[in-house]
Parts: sequence; structure tokens; C-alpha cells
Amino acid sequence: MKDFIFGKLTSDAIPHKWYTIGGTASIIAMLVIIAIYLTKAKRWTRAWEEWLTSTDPKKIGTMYMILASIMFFRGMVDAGMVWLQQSIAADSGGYLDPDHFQQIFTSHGDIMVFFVTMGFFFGLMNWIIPLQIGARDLAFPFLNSLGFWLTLAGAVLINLFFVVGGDFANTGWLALAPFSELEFNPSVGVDYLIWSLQLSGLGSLLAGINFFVTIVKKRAPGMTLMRMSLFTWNALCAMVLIIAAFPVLTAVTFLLWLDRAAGMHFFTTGFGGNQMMYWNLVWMWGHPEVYILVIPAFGMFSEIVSTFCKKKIFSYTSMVWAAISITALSYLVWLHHFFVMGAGPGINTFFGVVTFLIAIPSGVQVFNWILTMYKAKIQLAAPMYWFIGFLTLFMIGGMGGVFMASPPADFQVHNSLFLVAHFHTMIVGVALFGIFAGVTFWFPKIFGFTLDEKLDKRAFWFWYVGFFVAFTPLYLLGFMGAPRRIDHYDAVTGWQPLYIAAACGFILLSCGVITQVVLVVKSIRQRKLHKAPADPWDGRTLEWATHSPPPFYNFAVIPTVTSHESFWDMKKEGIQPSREYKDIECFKNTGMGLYVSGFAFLAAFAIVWQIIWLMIVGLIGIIGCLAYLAFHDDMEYILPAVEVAKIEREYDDTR
Amino acid sequence: MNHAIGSRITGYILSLILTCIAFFIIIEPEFFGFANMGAVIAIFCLALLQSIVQLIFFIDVWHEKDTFWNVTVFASTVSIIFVVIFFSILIINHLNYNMR
Amino acid sequence: MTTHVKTAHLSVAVDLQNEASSTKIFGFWVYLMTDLTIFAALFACFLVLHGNSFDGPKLKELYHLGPVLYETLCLLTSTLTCALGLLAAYRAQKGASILFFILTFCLGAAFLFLEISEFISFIGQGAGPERSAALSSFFTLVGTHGFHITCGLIWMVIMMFRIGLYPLTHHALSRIFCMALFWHFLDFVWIFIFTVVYGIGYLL
Repeated sequence: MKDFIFGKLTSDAIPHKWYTIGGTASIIAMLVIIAIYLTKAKRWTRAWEEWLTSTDPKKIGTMYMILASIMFFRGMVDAGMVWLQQSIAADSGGYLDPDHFQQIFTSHGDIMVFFVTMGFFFGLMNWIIPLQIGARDLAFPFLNSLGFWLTLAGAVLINLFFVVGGDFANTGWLALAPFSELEFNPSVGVDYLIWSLQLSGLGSLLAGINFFVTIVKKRAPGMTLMRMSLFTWNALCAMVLIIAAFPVLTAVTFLLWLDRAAGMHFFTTGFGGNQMMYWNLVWMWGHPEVYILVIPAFGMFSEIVSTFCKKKIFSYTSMVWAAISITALSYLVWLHHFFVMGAGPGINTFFGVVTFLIAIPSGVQVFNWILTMYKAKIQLAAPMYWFIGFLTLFMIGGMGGVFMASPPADFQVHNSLFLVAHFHTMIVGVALFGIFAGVTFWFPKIFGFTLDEKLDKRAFWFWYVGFFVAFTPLYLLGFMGAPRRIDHYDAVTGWQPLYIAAACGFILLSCGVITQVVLVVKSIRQRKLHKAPADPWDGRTLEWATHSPPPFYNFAVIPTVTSHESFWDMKKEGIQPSREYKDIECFKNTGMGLYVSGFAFLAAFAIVWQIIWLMIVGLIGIIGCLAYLAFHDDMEYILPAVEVAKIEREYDDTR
Repeated sequence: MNHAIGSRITGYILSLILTCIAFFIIIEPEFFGFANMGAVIAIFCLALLQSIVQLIFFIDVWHEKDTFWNVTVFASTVSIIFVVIFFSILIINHLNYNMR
Repeated sequence: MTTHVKTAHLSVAVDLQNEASSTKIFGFWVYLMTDLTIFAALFACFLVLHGNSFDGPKLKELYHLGPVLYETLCLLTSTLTCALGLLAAYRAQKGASILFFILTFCLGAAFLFLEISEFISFIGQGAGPERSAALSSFFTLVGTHGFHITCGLIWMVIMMFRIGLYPLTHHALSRIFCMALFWHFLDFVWIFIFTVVYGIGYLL
């Protein structure tokens, strides 16, 4: 009976270790602070009506950014704990026990990849893509809301072990078999990982489909594919990768769960299971995933370079083809993540060669950016700082990648700190710097005030210098033979000074993060002093053609597009936006995304702890919500032209 | 109306024939003179044929002028499916052979 | 606003006057492509693992092809009735539409019944999914398809109520179209399941 009600939950699940108590306390503190703020400011209703039930991509984008920021702190804390452990653990056990250390780097990886980077990118895309293509909303506004709430449910689930259960996965971020199987990992940690990934993976997949259909079907009149901005092109390519790769992740993590929960034998060590099939399928997802993280950044930087060099990008067509080639090739290289696993010279060579080939379109892009800057009057605003940092780091990381594309070279550095340094160079130097640059660039458009330039540049220097201090030692350690993920080592190796140097780099990176927090807080406080016009940077693409912040319908009149830098051309020819307002079809707010995700969260939690009745409740809830939607699909309403005119007049008056 | 219904009934009858032939080959491969591997290739071809029949007659992808994206997306998915299945078999076979 | 749509010729980019429908259908089409990719991963696992019976019964020894043929015929016929139901809905013939969908539901339920009987009989012989990798991959691939069929049946019931109780707007028609597309796609996948799982499993 007890098993039926509680599944695998026992009193052991109540937090009793120092870090689970600490984690639970932090989560409760955060929720209490939010509750106190909402109560004091009497904003509960407003939070519900304007944010939680919103289908406006600008609001959903902001919620993604907030979620990603909170998860970013968790990820940085994880990183700091790892750095501290590794700098003191020469000839000693350090301060973390090995299993805990493994859980930390596992959660660091999953949180940073799934919730931070993907979260920030979906946030930026929600903000900017509809504006850049001249659309009012995404193709499926309800699905947009659902995608966000599923991602949030996944984020809650990945942190839930602090409060219920005590153990996270200790398998590394991809939960490779057979270590993640029941035989070696009987605790629920891996199940938390699997189902958190399933929820957020589903959210990402739905968002990917949504953005793909939006970009394909909802562009402004006259905007052919070759007149889209480069950020939109790169976003389209990333969405194609999401559509192609995420289903494989859904399938393979589901199979791993079946092994664990239903005693099946896909990847077990006995009964005919094949562990390498897990590696094969998970990396078939994993490699496109890392390209999903960097391709949007390429697009953002293309826009930033042409805006601040006041020149159009050197060769638009070659940039488009480079993006398409990178997308196509990235689906054919996944084996380079396990060259060492014995597939043989023929297979290794094929994948090695294709990996080399990806460097070509990447190079095309780099040359395009440099040639755009050549003989241009460069305005060194903060986004350009991030761009220069990105360019240098992308080249270093890229060269490291090309080095490892050669199987014999990879055999020497596989799973060493050289690899760790390479992928952090790419994720921090390309993806994260892209996000920081994109936020600085587009913040004034979305919120109507600018971020403090000086603080932003200071944050950049902390990040840029800090990156080199933190990761150059790791490149060196990799060549010296230091493997990744070790929690202690012998002092005789001589590695400790380098680990300590790396830890100092982490301190600099933390200073960068703190500066960014101060930046946001200070800029919000001083927002009335730094109001932004509709076009603060003398931009070139369509999003600058509407007010800052934009009205919820984005454009009063959807512009007709005649070139790939339509707004720039409109400015040159002195074309004013039309004032012939028409009725606008808008989408209502709905709490359904929240409800469905809430039930999905309950179901996932129940699956982790094998509480069957709760799982059925969750599933019935989901079906019920979807059935309700099938009968109540009158989600649109008309905003009459007179209302549009009124809102536009208010904007004119406040200017 | 009649064209639409006719198209579906044609598709149904064709699929029925292809299905029955496939089952017959599975049960009695020797009737056609197939060895096991030959039978496998034969039924796979029949499956491809039937899937195309169903695409044309039931899903009707080809008759409208604005189906460029539907077809492109489908063609890309078919290539991805091919990559997933073909390379998985190839890689695992190599691993099984080299690491036995 | 009730619009009765009389289209002579049905197609994927249907209702070209109505851009909302064609966007919805395109979005659903893209979702179906991702579902196909999930099946591709499951097929890959089956093709790699179907020989790994460990010390358990081989798949070949377990198969009874008779019921599989009946399942196939049920599903194939249900695809036809589903298509006819959809065409009837587009001609605003609510009664005929619901009748065809009831027929489709019965055939789909028959398919599920046969499939579940097969699963139970395997498990009864000690050949459950936990017996070997080959059986795990069999149960998961066929079972996932069966799960999709179940979802399709639930969706069909909801749509039947929708057709019966409410006027047939563009909105409703595009949703019924998506449901029919889903059902066609399930038969499409089943062609490959009976070929690969039962065909290759039986012959090789």
C-alpha cells in the first residue's frame, strides 16, 4: 500500500546533506523574496494577466531571459565548486566527496547547455525574430507559451533533487551508458536528468517547429528568403537542426529510461544490450545541439558588424550558403566525439574529413566579417567589444577543433582538459558572447532604454581577460595529460599551479557576472535618464522600424520589403511608415500553457519516483487540457483600427 | 468530390495488393525463387512502393501549387532518416567487428 | 461564424483562401516529420539489436504472421474510412463523417486488440521486453506505434464530439485534417514496421 501511494519515495528523500539543505534553503529564499515583492507591490494580478498567461513573444522572451539568468547563477556556482576542488585536491581528497563532485559537473553541463544557452537564445529569438521578419507574432502563439512553460518545468525538475531525493545524476551531462544504467546507478538522480531533459527537450522542439513555420510562412510581403536578415537566416538554420536532432534525444533518453524502469536491455552490459548504440544516438543529437548553440550567435554578430561598421555585410549570399552548409554538415560529424571507441580507420576517416570540411564555411564567415570591417568607420560600441572578443576566441577554439578533427591527434587529447578548453572556448566565446552582445544590441528596442555602456565594456574586459586566465591553463593541462572530470590528482604531476591559475580566472569571470548584474540593476534604476529612440544604433534591419519598446502588435502597418536591408533603404529614401491603420487580429492570453506544463511536471515527477496514480493524474490532466483547447479555439480577437490609431498617437505624444 | 474519393479508393486497392504480395513473400520466399536476403530486398522495395502510393493517393502532396515547403521538409526528413538508420548500422557493425 | 466549405479537391495546402489553416497544417506536417525521426531512431535500434536474443527465444520463433496480416488489413482499411470521413466533413455531411470515423475507430481498436493480444502471448511465454535486447527493441518499436494509435483514437473521439456538437468552421476542419493526416502517417509507419520488424525479423 505504501509503495502504491509513495512509489520509491522514502524518508531518505528529505534533504539531509549539507548541500541539499543549502540548495533547498536557497530555492525557498528565492521564492519567498519573489512572493514578498509581488505582495508589497500588489502585482499578483498583473503578474498573472500580463506575464504568466501572456502569448506575446516579447513577454515570453523576457521570461526565458529571466529563467536562463537564474539558471546561469546555478551553473556558475557549480563551476566555482569544481574549480575550487581541483585547485586544492593535489595529494588530498579536497572538500567534496567524489560522487558529489561528479554530480556537480554533470548538473553544470546540463544546466548550461539546456537552460542557460538554449534559454537565452530562445529569449532573444522571441524578442527579435517576429520584429525582423515584419510579423506580429509567431505562427502558433499558444505553442510558444507552452514551450516556455515546459522548459521551466524541466528547470524545476533538474533542481528538484535538492528538495526531494538528494541525488542528482553523477554520469556526466549526457548520462552515457552503461554507467547510467540501473546496475551502476540505482538512485533516482539519472531519472531526474532524463525527465528534465524530456520536458525541456519537448519545449525546445515545439519552439523550434514554431520558429521554423513562422520564418517560412509569416514574413512581411516582399521579404523573399534572400531578403531576410542574417540573424533570421541563422535562426532558421538552427531551427532546422532542432527539428532534425531533438527527436533523437527524446528517443534515446526514453530508451535509457525504459532500461532503468522497465528492465529492458537496450544499452545494458548483459542480455544482448549494446552500449555503443547509446553513444551513437546521443551524439547524433549532441553534435547538432552544439551547433544549435553557436549558429544563432553567428547571425547576431553579422548584424552587429554591419550596423557598427555602417556597411552592409561583405557578401550576403556567401554568408547564407555558409550557414546552410554548416547546418547540413553538422549532421554528419557526430562520430568525432567517440573516435577512440574503436570504429576503425575507415569510419574514423570519413567523420574526420567531414569535420575538417565544416571549417571551410566557418572560415568564409570569418573572412566576411573581417572584410566588412575593412576600411569601414567602426563605431566601438559595447556590442563591438563582444564581437572582437568573439572573433579571436572563435578562431582559437576553431583551430582547436580542427586539430581534434584528425583522429590520431584526437586519440591523444580525447577527454582531456584540452577538449574541455576547446568546447568552453566555443560555448563561452561564441554562444555566450553572442548572447551578451545581442542583449546589449537589442535591449533598447525591447525595453525602451539603453544599458550603461561603460559598465558593459567593463564586464566585457572581466569576461575576456578572465576567459584567458581561466582556460589557457586548461589547454596546457590537456597537453600535459590531465584528463577531465578528475576530483583529485598527485602533486608530483605539477598540475596544481595551473589549476590554481584557472581558479583565479574563474574569479575574474565572476567579477564579470557581478558587473553584469550591477549593469542591469543600475540601468533599470536610471531608465528614465537613458530613454532609447526607435533607432538608437542607426540600424539596418526591420526591427528598428517600430517604436522602442514596440507595441504588442509590433507594427501598426506591416511594411513591404524590397531589399535585405529594407529599413536602411527606407531611411535613405526618406520613406515614412504608412499611417493607413487597419484592424489587427491578435491572440488572447491563456493560462493553458502553464496548466499543461504543470500537469506534465507532475507526471514527470511521478515517473521519476514511480508513483503510478500521480502519473495517471498528470496524463489525464494533460489530455483534459488539450481536449478543452479542441473545443475552445476562439483564441483570436480583433483590435479595431481606431484603437491602433490611439496607441500610435500615444507613442507620438511621448516622443 | 468524385476525383478525391476515387483517388483514395485506388490508393487503397493498390496498397492492398502490395501488402498481400509482401506477406506472401515473407511466408513463402521460395515461391518466387528468392533466397532470404533477396526476399528482404523485395519486401523492402514493396514497402517503398506502397509508401509512395499512400503519399500520392492519400496525402495528396503533389497537386497544389504551394507545396514547395511541405515537399522540401519531407525530403529533408527522409535524408535524415536515411543518415540515422544507415550510419547507425554501419557504425555499430564496425564497432562490433573491431571490439568483439 | 459558420462557413460550410465545399471543396471538390482535397490537398495538403488545403483551403488556400484561409491562410491560417494552411499554416496550421504545415506546422502539423513539420511535427509529423519529427515524429518520423523518433521512429527512425527506434528503427535503427531494432535493426542493430534484433539479432541479440542472448539466451532467450529468437524473434523468428515467436512471430505468428496471421494476426499481423489482419492488423495490417485493419489499419489499411481504417486509413480509407478515415479519409472518407474527412471528405464528408469538408462537404458538411456531419452524419456521414461521424459514421466513417466510428468505423475507423472500430478498425483501429481491432488493430490494438490484436497487437495487445500478441504482446500478452509473448509475455506469457516468458518472452517479455526484459528478456533480451531483441525483445526490448521489438516491444518498444511496435509498442510506440501502438501508443500513437491510442492517442489517435482518443483524438478521433474528441473530434467526433466536435463535429457532432459544434458548427464546422475553418478552424475545426483544419484540426480534423490534422487528425486524419496523423492517422495516415501511422499507417505509413506501419508499412515499414511490418516489413522491417516482422519481415526482416522472420526472414533473417
